[in-house]
Formats: sequence, structure tokens, C-alpha cells
Amino acid sequence: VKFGLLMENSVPRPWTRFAERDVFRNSIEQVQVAESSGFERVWAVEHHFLEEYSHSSCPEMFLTACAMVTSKIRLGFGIATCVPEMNHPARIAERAATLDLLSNGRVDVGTGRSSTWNELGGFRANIDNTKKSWDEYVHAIPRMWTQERFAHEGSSFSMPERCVLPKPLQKPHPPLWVAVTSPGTEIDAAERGLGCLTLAFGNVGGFVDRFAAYRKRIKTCEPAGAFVNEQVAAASWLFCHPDADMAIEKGRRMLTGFGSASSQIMEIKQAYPASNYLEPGLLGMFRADPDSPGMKGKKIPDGLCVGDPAMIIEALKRWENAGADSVVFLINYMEVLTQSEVLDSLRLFAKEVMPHFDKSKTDVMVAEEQYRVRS
Amino acid sequence: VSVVETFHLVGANEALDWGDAPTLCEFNGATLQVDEADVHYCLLEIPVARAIAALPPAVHPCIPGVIAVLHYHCPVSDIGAFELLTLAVLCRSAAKHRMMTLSAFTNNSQAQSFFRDGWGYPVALADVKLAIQYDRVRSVVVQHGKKVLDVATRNPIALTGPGASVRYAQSLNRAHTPRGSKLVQVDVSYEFKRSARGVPQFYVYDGAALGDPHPMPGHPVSGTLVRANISFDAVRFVADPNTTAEAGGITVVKEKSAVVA
Repeated sequence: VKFGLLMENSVPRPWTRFAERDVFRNSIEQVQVAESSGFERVWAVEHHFLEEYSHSSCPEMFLTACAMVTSKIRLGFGIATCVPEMNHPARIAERAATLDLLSNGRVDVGTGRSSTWNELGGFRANIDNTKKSWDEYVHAIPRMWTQERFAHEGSSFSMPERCVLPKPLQKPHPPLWVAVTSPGTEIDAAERGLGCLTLAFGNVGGFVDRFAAYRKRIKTCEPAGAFVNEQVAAASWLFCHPDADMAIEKGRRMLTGFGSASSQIMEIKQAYPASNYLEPGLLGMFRADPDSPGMKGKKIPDGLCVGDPAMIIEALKRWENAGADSVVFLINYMEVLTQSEVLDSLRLFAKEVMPHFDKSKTDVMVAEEQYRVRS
Repeated sequence: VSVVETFHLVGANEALDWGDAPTLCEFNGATLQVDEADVHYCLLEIPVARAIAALPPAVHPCIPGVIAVLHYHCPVSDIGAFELLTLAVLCRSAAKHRMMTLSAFTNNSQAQSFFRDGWGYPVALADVKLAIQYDRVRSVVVQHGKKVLDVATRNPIALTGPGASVRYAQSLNRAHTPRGSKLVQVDVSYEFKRSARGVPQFYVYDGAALGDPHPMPGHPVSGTLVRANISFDAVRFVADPNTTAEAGGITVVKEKSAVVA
């Protein structure tokens, strides 16, 4: 199992002049420490208008800053929202390719369609069409990267022949992923040969069958891109501290912060009944009223990596046994942890937890399977 | 001090006018079952600052700000045929989505007493009508001979399968209760028969008459028309108007099991 970070860049109120700047600066330092500690990848999300929850509206800019101060860690651009009112696919292709050049070929591209009224409503997006536009994008973007010139007549976008520039450094192109929250999206990923980035934050047991279904279905996929990116990444929280009780208390506060910040956001399911948004998205999963009396004293949810090193090793073994190739971590939220606590957590994790996991297995996978070129 | 208490926006209306608030002499456990009701629900955006100004400190504003029209057209019930239309600002109590009632109208005097005394709706008598046409669904309120509200859902299209369910926010009504001046939560449950979704639009919006003295909301979210069996359940929760749920502002009036029994 490999390890990575998932940067939301949440900014709690009060929004003082330097609050956002400090969050971004801290995040860049966290990425530097993560690279030196052996973390393999950092994802930066794309969100718009999600007050406090995430101020990461321009992930490629944040990742470019990260690229300038790192040399090895892979850069996960996304989840890039594949909705025409928010992003033209050529703009996603251009920005990802530019980042790939600037980072010397370290980019992964995550795709998705958003699940909030704040975002889709804010851009006046056609909510009923987001699945269709996502599908069209994931097939078009690799062609923009691999063909000298690209033209398209489609349902969510059309364009006359143009040379989409620059082209990415990685050949044939950067790996493509899709964010998986709703049940069934892992099958969408598998059928298109895309990496499966599950954003469930816990509930390991619930993913065993879904990961297995992904592995089975991807064997017969028709890849959207030029190769099959068979990878399963799971998301979790990380706070590693020698004092387990203290870690759990801080972890609980991060969960509370996430729950309360996400509850400020209006899910599509609440605002706009639609057959393509049957389940609450990622945000809705944590609306279980974290401050209600019923939540007091409850254990940290299954699979979250909060505790001392031994507890975290146990949680990660469960993800490994479930079939995850990598686990990506939220390492702070709403600035609950101080910067020194975050960095110490990363370093302790690297020293005490990482050695218990064999990275070579996934290295082989990357070499032999990840870049299986389409015949 | 929790993260919620420290950071999140809350309502700023500390001076709710309790003078004309309904009085619940007791939590009498009243319920009402209505079969085959039509429910017209329109959501449109308003500025967050406007929502904050309307809401009491107990609740957080919905972001973005949203105003809701919820119209029950009930052709048959134990209290006769009635219309009940409310205008409300969406909000949340802790993580639960709610809506704070600004005004309410009915065309049935028995329903007026029933909903005012049982759940604290600030119900006024008016001529309330729901017109269901193929190109639009229209809710109209005429009070004292003047049209104060005219809102429609344009071009409704049928929703099918699991996507046909609508998530309604439960209402909060300010009322004098045996527990003091409280926000009374109305729990309504729905058994959906069919539903349609379209684009909501106000044609007449008399803010002063509607308890929202502001311009007509413009940005549409969604409009829905649902045929459902609905149940107004007995009051289970009341909230202190100035204390958030996170800080212990919710009081359980009746446990769910007791209500069922």
C-alpha cells in the first residue's frame, strides 16, 4: 500500500486577511514534509463556493506551487469537475498538461461532476446532464493529449479542429481517475479503465465488495484513454500521535469540523430532485449531527487512521485486505491541528507505520499494469 | 467550545416578534393524516445576509440563502378540504435542514385553528389556490382582495424511480408553549405517489404581506409537484430561539416511540 495526501484547504471563520494565505502556505509545507517522509502522491480537490469547507478552487495553481518545491511526489489534479458550465474539457487538458510539464511528468488527473447546489447552481449548470458530460469528457481529454489536433461534435460540447496545447510530458498521457462516492460509480470507473478514487473516509467493510467488483469489471473494460489505470485509492483521516487518547480527541474534533462544515453546504439531493443524484455525496455522509448527544463517546469510524501507530497500522491493514492499492489522507481540517502537530504526525507515521507496508507490490503494478498500452 | 459554536454563521434576529406568535396551551399530540394530497414546493435563492437577518440565533443559515414556498392542497381530511401554504427561509439546526416559517395561509377556518394551536403555524385566512396545468403549477394567495403571492413551477416534467422523492425541510414555527417561547418543529412524513420537477418563478411577491419585506427572489433552485399521502406527526422537538442545537438548545417533548404508541 502506498500513501498520499488529500488537500481540501479548508479555512474556518473568522476570515482574517491572512487566514487563507496561511492555510495554503501550511499546505505546501505539509506536501514538502510528506515527500521527504515517503508519501507517494498529493491530491488537491477542485471546489467552488464551499465556504470554510474547501477554498481549493484552483488546484492546479496550488499543485504548481507544490511542484516547484518538490521533485518526486505525484500531483493529483482534481477532482476536476467535468461539467461544461464550469470547465471546458480543453481547459482541463491544457492545465493538466502544463502542470505535467512543470512538474517533470508527475500528474494524475481525477475527474468528477460535483454534488452540491452551491457549485452546480452557482454556475447554472445543467444538473441532469452531469453524468453524460463527465462521460464525454473522460473520452475526449485523452484524445486532446494524444492527437496532434482534436475536433469534436458531442452533446455536452463541440469544437472545431484545434491543436490543444501543450501536450503532457507523460506518454501516452497522465493517468486518469474518477472520484467514487455513490455506489455504482466504481463500475463506471472500471468500464472506462479509470483509477478508482473512493472518497468515503472510512467504512472499510462496505468497500470490500465494491473494490472486488471494480477489479473484476476492469478486466474487460474499453478504456477511455490510451491505457488502463487499474488502481484503487481509499481516503481516510490521519492523525498519528504517541498518545492514543489525545489523538482520538483531536481526530474527533476534525471529524466534527468536517461534519459541521459540510452541513453548511446544500447537496443536490436536497435542492434539486434528480435521477442522477440519488445518494448524498461525500458531504452528506458526515451530516450525522456530530454534536448530538448520540454521537458522544462513539468510536472513531472504522478505517480512519487516528490514534497511535499501532492503531493506525491495524486500520491500514484493513484497507490493504479490502483491496486498496493506496490510502490518501486528510491530515487537518478547519485548522483543528496546529502546523507542528500535522508535521509531527506525518513524520511519526513515516517512521512507525510506513515500514509495515510493502510498497514494492504496488511498484510492480505501476510498471506492469498501470501503463498497459491499449493495443 | 465546539468548532460549530466558534465559527459558523448563525441567525441574527434576536428580537423575534413574539407578540403575535401562536400559543400552544399544551403539547396535545395532535396528528393529521391526509391521503392523496398535492404538495407544491418552490425553492429560490435569496442573499445569505437576508436569510441571516430573518433567522433567530438558534439556527444557521442555509448557504446559499434560499426561500421556500410549501403548499399543501388537501382535498379530503378529517378537518375537511383545506389549503395550507407557508413561506419560509431555509436554515439548519446543527446538521439538520429546517425552514423557519415567515408566514402561513389557509382557506379553512378549522384548519387555521388546528395548525395554529397544534404546531404553532402563524396561519392567516386567505383565498389560497393551487392550479395544476400541463405547462405550469401555480400557487396563488389572495388576502383582503389583494393578490399577495403568485408563484409557479414552469414546465414540470415527471420524475421516475428513486429520483422521484423530494427532500423537504421540516418547518420551525415560533410559538408560546408550556415550555416557554420556543421554535416548534413540525415533522411531516411523506409517502410519494408521483412527482414532477420544473423551474420556479414568482409573479407576485408582496413582501410586507408575506413577512419578508424584501424584493422578489429571482434565482430559481427547483420547483416540484408531488402527489403523496402525508402525515403531520405530533410535536416531538422544540428549540430555544437563542441557543443553537450544538449548545443544547433542543428539547425533546415526546419520544418517538411514545408518539407511535
